[in-house]
Amino acid sequence: MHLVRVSTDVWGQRVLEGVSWDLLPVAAVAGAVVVIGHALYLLLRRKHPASVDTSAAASERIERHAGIDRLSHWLTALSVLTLLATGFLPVLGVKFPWVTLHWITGVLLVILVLFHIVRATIWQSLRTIGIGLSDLRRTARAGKYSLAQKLMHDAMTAAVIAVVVTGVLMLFKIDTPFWKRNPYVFGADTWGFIYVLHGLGALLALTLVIIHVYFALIPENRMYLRAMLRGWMTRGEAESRHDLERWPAAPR
Amino acid sequence: MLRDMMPQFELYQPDTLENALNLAKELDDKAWIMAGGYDSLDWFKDRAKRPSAVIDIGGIASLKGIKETADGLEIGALTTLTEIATNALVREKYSLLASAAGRVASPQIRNAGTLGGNLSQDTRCWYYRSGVNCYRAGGNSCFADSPQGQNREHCLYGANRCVAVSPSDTGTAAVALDARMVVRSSAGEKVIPAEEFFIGPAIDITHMTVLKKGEILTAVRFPKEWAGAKFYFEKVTDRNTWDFALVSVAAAMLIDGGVIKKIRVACGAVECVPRRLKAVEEAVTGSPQNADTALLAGKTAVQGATPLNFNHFKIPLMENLVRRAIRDA
Repeated sequence: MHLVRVSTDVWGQRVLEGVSWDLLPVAAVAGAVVVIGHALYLLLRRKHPASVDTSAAASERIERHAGIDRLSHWLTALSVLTLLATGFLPVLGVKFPWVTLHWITGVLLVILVLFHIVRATIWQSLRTIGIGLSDLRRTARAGKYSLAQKLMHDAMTAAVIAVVVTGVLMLFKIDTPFWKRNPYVFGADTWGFIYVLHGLGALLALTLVIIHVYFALIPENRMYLRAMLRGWMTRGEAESRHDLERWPAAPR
Repeated sequence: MLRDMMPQFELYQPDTLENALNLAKELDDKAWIMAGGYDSLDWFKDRAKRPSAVIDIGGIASLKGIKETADGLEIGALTTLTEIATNALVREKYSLLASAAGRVASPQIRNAGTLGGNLSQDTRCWYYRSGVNCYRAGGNSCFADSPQGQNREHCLYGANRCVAVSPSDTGTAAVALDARMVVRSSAGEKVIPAEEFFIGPAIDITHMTVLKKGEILTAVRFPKEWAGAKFYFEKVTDRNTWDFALVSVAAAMLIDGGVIKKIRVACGAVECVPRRLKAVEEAVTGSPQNADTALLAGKTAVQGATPLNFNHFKIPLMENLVRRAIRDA
């Protein structure tokens, strides 16, 4: 198994080409291992999940995600899934005109990422997603997001930033209705490095998407899926996992 | 680069298609399927491709021959280009194909080169053929599409990172004749329209056709609809003795009372696939076959052409060839 693809260029020098596609099954298996491991843990654990207070007072709905953030999340999800499919299916031998769909979706993802950065910086608090010492204390209850959720977000942020930044540079290589290609802005070595980063980001995103989809679908996290679909969870659900003093959620 | 000295490989020479398909399945990634050898041996001698196993299908008798069927004509993939160019039936009913086959390379090459090989051959971009790490070879650069890249033979359409063109003369004729490619694998048989058989870099940058590992092109079927139609084939090359096309044109048309009732036109060497000119077909269908219609066809043909640094000449060349095809068929 190789980590990167290397070849000999026109001057006989060895140059980086990109990440080795031997890593594609590794990325998929890594995601599957986490999923299967956690599923086994759920089956074998003795401790039951924290019970949810279902009293009338605890049934009050509180807002977890505003409509604009949910729309942004689902559009981002659609973009990432489309990019993974159009990027990896050709590697697996499925032939279709993938480049156009890939770059257009990539541009959409860039817009969504920029929107998310502006929204998170100005209208939301970056501290809600940052990992601090309190997240590492076993006794401390989570604020709006748990440590696992923050880790997932931050890892996905790293993957998406890697593919988005390198992807924007790779747009120089193709013709579109808006610009003409100019692949000579960088040398072969630099392009190789860009391709490696793009591939690694994409492989990390694949692993994270597998894990993310699994944790979104398991029954004990159903409230988070509902919150991402409809925007709310009950106060009881929130209190079962979160410290509402650290997350001053508004009633809905 | 060391040339004319082929690296060692295991040679398999099956005598039946079934044996060849079994071998292809068994050897999987290691297998290189060779017909006449005029594409394959170049690769091996240049040491740009180094397969560890070669399946020489040249001895499979069932893949040779020309026969008339109820639906038209079926030509085995291993039929030589000379046989096609000289066959009385082909010359009488599908003279477009005979003309195209007769313009491939040189008499010696046509004597051994096959229809299947000519259709399935790899591109002749010299950067790619010399074994550099271009896009088509799995890299992430195109050396032909660079400020100093020599690209006078390269594409006008469909550039998508790679700018190579299809070198197949019979491919251009097959698209114009609405041919069907018969492809066999251990999983069975499938029939693919010629237009869909060839693929550009947007779909798969490392292959010229839809053929996958373990698949063999076994025959090409030419539909009866175009038998005896009016045809035109012309190929312009740097050297008239033998060379690949700079631009070629193949046209098949049904004329009634001097009016073009139905037409298919394709150009070779302007795109990574034989380029079917649907806009031209639509523009001239129902029009009289005359100089004015031909003028319109030529102008329509080159709409959207995007030349590279050194191949601007291909635009007027293509325009004139299409004009002549409509006027002189």
